[in-house]
Amino acid sequence: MKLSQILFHPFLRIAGGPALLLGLATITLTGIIGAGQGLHFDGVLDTHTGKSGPWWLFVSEGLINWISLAVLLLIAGRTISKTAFRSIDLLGTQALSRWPTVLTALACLAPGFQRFSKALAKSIIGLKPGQMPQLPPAGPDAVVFGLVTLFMLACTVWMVALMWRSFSHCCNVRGGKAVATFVISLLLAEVLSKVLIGQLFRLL
Amino acid sequence: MKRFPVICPSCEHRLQVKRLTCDHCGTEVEGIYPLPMLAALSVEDQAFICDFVKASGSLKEMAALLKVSYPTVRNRLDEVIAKLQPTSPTP
Repeated sequence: MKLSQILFHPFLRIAGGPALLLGLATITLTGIIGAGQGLHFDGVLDTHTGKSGPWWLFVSEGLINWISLAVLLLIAGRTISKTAFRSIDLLGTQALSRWPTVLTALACLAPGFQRFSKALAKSIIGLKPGQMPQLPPAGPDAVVFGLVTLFMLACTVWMVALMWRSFSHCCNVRGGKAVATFVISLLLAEVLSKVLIGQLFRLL
Repeated sequence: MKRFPVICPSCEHRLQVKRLTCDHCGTEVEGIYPLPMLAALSVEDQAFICDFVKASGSLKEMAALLKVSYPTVRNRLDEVIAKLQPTSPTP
């Protein structure tokens, strides 16, 4: 298997139960790494640093993100696909599509990123309307922050590419209609996951 | 090894059988016969169908045999089904 296939189309070789198990393991791992540093994946496409909390909260965020998109794509797939596909393949590959978030969570462990985000948050919190924030001074930490942010962005694009591959391959759909269906489902899932995670925070 | 031609190298339309010969007595039959549906498929597609029949039509078993995922085999089968549709111009 070529490296490009492993990175961008692993679903040629893996789907179903094994993909689901691996995907759930990566979602759990991301949640546990995120819990240690207050890194929230609070939406299908979102990554934010914030308050720390119990580890299960961070794992639940990942699970909500996964299930929100997977269920919407399952409905979309059943509507537009002409083939008889298995739900387990779409659910499993969608879970595995979230594996770049592990890399994002690991990259955010960089001490420079941690220091700069804390300083940035400190300069913004308590800001009055119209008041300009005093940004932390530019230095090595700012460079690390910038690089990690770029890496996070790349990982998000990569994750979306995997999500599309999973939908397209498992439901055997291609073309403009399939792309439009995917984009609409992604946007709806983003809103749905935000609402559900908001409800989750109310439990605390 | 010579490949059984199914597509015209000149205009890319499906070829037909014009002459059949008996190896035993040398009798020759001439006419225009369309290729059987399966014979008109590519060698790869024919091999896929053979493997599929040998696996008793189990896509799961085919996936294990070909070392690919279930949806990969399912999509491959969909491609072959599409080629077998009467509206399909060429394999």
